[in-house]
Amino acid sequence: MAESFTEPGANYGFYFNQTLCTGCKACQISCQDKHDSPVTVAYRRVIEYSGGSWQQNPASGTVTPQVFSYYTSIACNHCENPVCVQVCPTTAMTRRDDGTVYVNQSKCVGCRYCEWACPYSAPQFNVNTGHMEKCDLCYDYREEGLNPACVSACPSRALDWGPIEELREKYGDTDAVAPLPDPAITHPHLVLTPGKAAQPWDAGTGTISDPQDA
Amino acid sequence: MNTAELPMILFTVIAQMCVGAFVALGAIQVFGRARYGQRTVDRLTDPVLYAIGPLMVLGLLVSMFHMNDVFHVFNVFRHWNSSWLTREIIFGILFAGFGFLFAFLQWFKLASGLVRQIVAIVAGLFGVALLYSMTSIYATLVAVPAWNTWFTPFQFIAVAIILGCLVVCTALVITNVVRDRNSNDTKVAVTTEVEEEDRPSGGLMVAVKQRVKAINAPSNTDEWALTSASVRVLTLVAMVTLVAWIAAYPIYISQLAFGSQTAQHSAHVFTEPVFVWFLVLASLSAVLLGLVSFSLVGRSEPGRVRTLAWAISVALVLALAAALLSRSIFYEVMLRVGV
Repeated sequence: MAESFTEPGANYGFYFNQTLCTGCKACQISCQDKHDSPVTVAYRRVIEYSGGSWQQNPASGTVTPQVFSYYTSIACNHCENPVCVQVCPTTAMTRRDDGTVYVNQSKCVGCRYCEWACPYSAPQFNVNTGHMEKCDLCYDYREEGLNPACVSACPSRALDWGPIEELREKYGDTDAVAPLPDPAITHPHLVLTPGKAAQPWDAGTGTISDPQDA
Repeated sequence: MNTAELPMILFTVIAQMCVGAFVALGAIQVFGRARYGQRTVDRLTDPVLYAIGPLMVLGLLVSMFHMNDVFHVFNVFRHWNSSWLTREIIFGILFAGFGFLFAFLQWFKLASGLVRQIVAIVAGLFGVALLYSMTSIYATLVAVPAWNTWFTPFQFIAVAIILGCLVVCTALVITNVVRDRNSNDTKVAVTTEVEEEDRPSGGLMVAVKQRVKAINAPSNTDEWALTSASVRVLTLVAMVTLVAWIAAYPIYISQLAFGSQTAQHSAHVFTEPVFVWFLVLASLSAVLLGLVSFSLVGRSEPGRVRTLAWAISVALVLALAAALLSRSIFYEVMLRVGV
């Protein structure tokens, strides 16, 4: 019998190792492929963040460029304080017993209020159905004892998932780097290993290089 | 101009206008009754009341276009204990419903004056609750710095006051023009007062016709005195609010400009021509209102109100256009923190 990956009270979340990510977007594509999503709908996105400045050396009178560019793979973080669930007028945005958040398609009215509220852009509008959709941590796969599609697809093994307390025990408790938002807003079930060039979430030192993709 | 959010632009502005107008009518009722009596006050406020209802229904209908799956629309009542959007819809319907009930009772002079007053007060309270929940929808979104500020309730209340006062003023003056026209019409022979003892009798159509005739009957001196006093005060209130609204923008924009990276991006929207158009239209409306309040009302008298009617109507159109442009900007500045 397959291992149960839908344990009530598990509060599942994601882990992302930025030091391993090459920005190949295999996670994003595998997610879109698995859900047969239109091009405009991406439950998981890979965001390129870049910036830089110059460091002046007064002794030699020279300036050295200090630039950075790195990728962050982000989906729904099945937050502790899910604002999407709070603001949804129809109760379509629902939290399962295992802590994951999904959209009940039989209730969603497509008002897009959750889209305004979520600082991770997790709820995505599907123009074909007129409803919101989002990552549910591949509930159907998990029921069969399989990993979420994005986690399985990552060629550099930068993604992991599991009960958030186990992830924190294993990888630490960092849950934000730029350009992710202040984690105090939603308390995401997310653990990160920041890359060498990673900037603090509130530094404002760079910009998202591909806002259309993001 | 943000056309993607057109349903929300129209709904929020129309709903705020209706709430403002209903409260302004309530103010005329409260302050006018003591000096001019219930009959005079009712003669003035009744026709305006009948203009608000259709407007509010139009607003609610337009808001439906914001829903991408109308077949699921009844689900929006489910999350009343958490979602401000649910509360907005509930209070919107209750405001429209009680407003309609009050208009119905008032039209046929059904129930006692006290009961009608209670229904009107309840409708007004639901209107205020609608305004509050509408504000909270946006102001509580921590992820949107341009909305999560004092300026959101400030501008929503400002629009309610400005457009509410102006709709009432315009309706009062136009009603006066219509009634003046009827004063020369010998075919109209009606009583000007309909009280409990004068309730229309006969079939529904007869009752409606009698009521329409009563509403359109010529004005008397007291009615004109209350009309001019109301217009003078309401246009002054609208003008002061307009000036305060225009003056508040630089404070708001500077707060955005010195805020987070996202807030700074939102501030860039105010460099677009649409904001200049807003300032021009709002300023023109304020100047015109000053002219109306301090000069034109005093120089108008029964039979000579056409200039006043034109001036107030133009001020309303200018203020309405300014409100729609500012609401378009409001949705344009919606940039979220994060990704």
